[in-house]
Amino acid sequence: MASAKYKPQRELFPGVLELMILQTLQRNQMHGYALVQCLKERSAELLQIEEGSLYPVLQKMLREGSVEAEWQISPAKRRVRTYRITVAGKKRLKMEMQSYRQMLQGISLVLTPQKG
Amino acid sequence: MNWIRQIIARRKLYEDLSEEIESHVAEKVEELVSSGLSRLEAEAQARRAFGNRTLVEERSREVWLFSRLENLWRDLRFTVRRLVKAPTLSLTIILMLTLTVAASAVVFSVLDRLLLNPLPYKEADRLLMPWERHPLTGKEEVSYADFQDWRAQSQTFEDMAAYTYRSFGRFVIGKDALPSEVEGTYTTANLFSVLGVQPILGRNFLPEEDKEARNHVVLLSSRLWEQRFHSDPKIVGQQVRINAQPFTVVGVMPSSVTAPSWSDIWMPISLLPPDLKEARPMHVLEVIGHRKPGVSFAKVRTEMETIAGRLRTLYPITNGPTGFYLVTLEEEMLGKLKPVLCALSVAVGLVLLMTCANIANLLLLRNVEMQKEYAVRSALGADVRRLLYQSIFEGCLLSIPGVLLGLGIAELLLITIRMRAVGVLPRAGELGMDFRVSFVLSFLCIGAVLVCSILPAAKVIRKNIPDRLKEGGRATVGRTQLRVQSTLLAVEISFAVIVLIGTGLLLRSFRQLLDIELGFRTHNVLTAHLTLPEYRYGDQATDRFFQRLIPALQQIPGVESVATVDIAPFTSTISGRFAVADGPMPEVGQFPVAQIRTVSPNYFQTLHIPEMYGRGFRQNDCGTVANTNRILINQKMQEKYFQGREATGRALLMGFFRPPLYRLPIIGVVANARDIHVDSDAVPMMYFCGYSNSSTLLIRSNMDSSSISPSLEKVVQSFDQDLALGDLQTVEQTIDHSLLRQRVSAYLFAIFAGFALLITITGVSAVLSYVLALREKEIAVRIALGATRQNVTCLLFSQTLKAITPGLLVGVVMSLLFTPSIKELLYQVSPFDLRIFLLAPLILFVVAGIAVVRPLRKGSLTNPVQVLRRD
Repeated sequence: MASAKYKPQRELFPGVLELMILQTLQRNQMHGYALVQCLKERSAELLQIEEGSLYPVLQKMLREGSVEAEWQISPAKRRVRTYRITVAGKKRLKMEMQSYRQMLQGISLVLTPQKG
Repeated sequence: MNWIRQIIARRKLYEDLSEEIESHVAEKVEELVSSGLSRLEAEAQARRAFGNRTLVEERSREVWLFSRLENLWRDLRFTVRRLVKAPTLSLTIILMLTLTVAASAVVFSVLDRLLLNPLPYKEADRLLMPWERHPLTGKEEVSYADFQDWRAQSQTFEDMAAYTYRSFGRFVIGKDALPSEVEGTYTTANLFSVLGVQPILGRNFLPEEDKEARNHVVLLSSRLWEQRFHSDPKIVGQQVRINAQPFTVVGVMPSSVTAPSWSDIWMPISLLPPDLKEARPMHVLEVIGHRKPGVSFAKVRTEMETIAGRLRTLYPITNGPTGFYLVTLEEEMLGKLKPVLCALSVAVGLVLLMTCANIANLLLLRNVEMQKEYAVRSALGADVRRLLYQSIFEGCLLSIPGVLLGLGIAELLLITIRMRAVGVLPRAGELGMDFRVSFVLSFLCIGAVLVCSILPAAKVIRKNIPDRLKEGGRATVGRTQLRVQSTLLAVEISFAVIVLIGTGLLLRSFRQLLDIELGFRTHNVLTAHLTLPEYRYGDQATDRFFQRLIPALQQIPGVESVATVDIAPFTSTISGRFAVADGPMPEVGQFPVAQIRTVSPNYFQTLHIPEMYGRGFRQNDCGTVANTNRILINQKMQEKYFQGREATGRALLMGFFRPPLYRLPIIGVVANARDIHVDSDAVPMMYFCGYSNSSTLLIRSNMDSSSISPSLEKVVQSFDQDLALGDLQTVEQTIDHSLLRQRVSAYLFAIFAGFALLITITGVSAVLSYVLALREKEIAVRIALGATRQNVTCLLFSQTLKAITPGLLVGVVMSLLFTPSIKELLYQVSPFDLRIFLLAPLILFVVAGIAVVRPLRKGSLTNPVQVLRRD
């Protein structure tokens, strides 16, 4: 009898997508589609992000002033909206990264089996 | 402020977002196409990879602050569209609210201002009006001599003031422009200090201005100051001519708080003609007293009755039968209005409740469709909060415009009443919209509509959705709603019956008044008042003036006849005590009383009053020598004092209070003319032939009186430039004016009755339509099983009867309790008039019948196949 393979699915921690977008934009400004491709590539396809889920996060960061956007013409001669991190976004990224690393460290300590 | 910029730029933000997403998907598609997929497959895969685009866009928009505002705006637009699609219902509700709120606001504001608010005087609850009372004539004004004695002897009054405005209070005032007649009052110097009223310019009278040496001073009303003197700020200290004599203006009084409210000028009482001041039998003054603090009304009455008793002993001939009567100033001013206002308030209150009940019925009827719609929308995922918001918007959109419009109309009506009712309605100058009345009305109406609008959404939120969509659940809820609607309808109909019966009684009473045979001609008879200043026109000069004026006026084209009388019909009264000559002498103080008129010789011909016995007046009967005066009497006097036998050739005696006695030979008897009050019977009357300084001209013409008025003025002015005609109006207008209270009551009730009928029509129609909706399936089954159209019509008709009969019966019973309270407003009509009590419910029954024709027809034409298939 064939049995369905169990594939555990996990949601990203809240705020992590925002962090990843800011980190990506810090290296280079890019439009929404390019951002999705970049996140997939850099995560070695371990992270499966629904493409559309980026846009509410981008709008939130736009409203908060962490990123700026402007319309440009892509190499494919298409009008695209390119995002760029702002100074406030960089400050935010630094703070969030520190907090995220602390959290990971704490989780790791808890999950590591104790000797003896 | 950033959020304001965001709201303004939101359309651009949304467009950018949509374009961005479009571009993302297009990019993905191109990539997939270049990897080898067909365009169709690439698009499908791109859409899958992207996710629910609509949801993404919505979530992205929600990030911005104004998505909630936009939802509210969308809900509002949706609600407006839905209401516009049901124009009959929406407009009916708004119109009903507008009319009801307007009527209620006016009546309750008037009631509040006039009856519930204290008078605008200092310590108004301590202001009293003492009167004299005669057993034959009832309440009487006070004589100047008696007033002086009261003031000197009373210990319970802090102060007392007196004034008089009888027909000799007409003044011709002129400064730079043409003279005009104004209403004037002689008053003691302390009148306004007793009332606690301060002038808006200048000062009150001083006590010394009550004396003759310094009495050529005048106070103006603010109304006269604005209209005649263009609100001249320097008017105080200036001279004006009154009856061709110079007077100095010392102050301007606020019109709304003076006594009497319609007076234009006040002058010191010392200017009153001597015979009115000195003669104790001349009852001309109205008195206002301020009782001392801590002294009760009963104590004042006891003391004044004691003083009156003392005067009766001291002056048995003049004061023999004179009693005393005391009333508060408020009761005197507003006593006659109370029954009218209370009746109107009850009627308008009933109409208001009827309107709320009817609107509730109409909205509950709509419930039937709304509940199912809301249930379906809720099942499809609609946020129940948004259903609630839409219901709230609906309630607000239906109620707020109606309420605001109604309040606006009420304000305009109150302004109009304020401007035009001065002198007719007491305290008219104080009328205005009362904030509390507006608030309560708005709360009641908006609240009622909101509750009924929210009900369908509230039920959906509370109950299980599948139940809402099932037929079984609907039947149970429907019966409950039907009971509520039927109860509301019964209440509406019972109120409508009360209003209709009240209206029927008042209209019948008013009709009786209009049909009264007055005994003299009223059509095309113009009246105009003319005052000849006494210091230039003595008795003989007055006679000569009118003997020349009357023929000159009769030369005007269109004029048929001109006469004069000292007291115009329905304006005032003057009476005198007499004895029948050669008959038994009455006891002291028991002299009979009759009305006295001084008329020109052709008075009776002008007014078409028939001469029954003897002869009429000739020119040589006119004179002022008392002991040669020949008189005419009316039939009433002949019946009462001559036992119905012809009085021609007999005589009366007068002069008991101021001897010597003089004999008045009766030369004829004329028919009765009812010219005191329209609704009072003819009274004994005697006529002297002569002319008076203060006279009313009676001009009978064969054309419209407004076309001859300028010619009349011109002729009078040609005789004396200082003279002016005042109070030009037809006798019919005078009668209308005297019947104003009855007319206003009857017409307003008629308007309310019309409105009540309209509400009944919509209410009955709504209930029967609901019954139809509820029993549609049952009716379809009956028809399918063989019932005819007539059977269905009978069934529905019996439903209608069941719905309206309780209301009719309850209404009739409640009317039996209500109608005695309007007895005072009725003339020769019983408050239990059988015809009205039968006719009113019958009219309502017929109206209800008309209202159900359409629903009955619709019900009887039910197509059973369509209805049964639908489910």
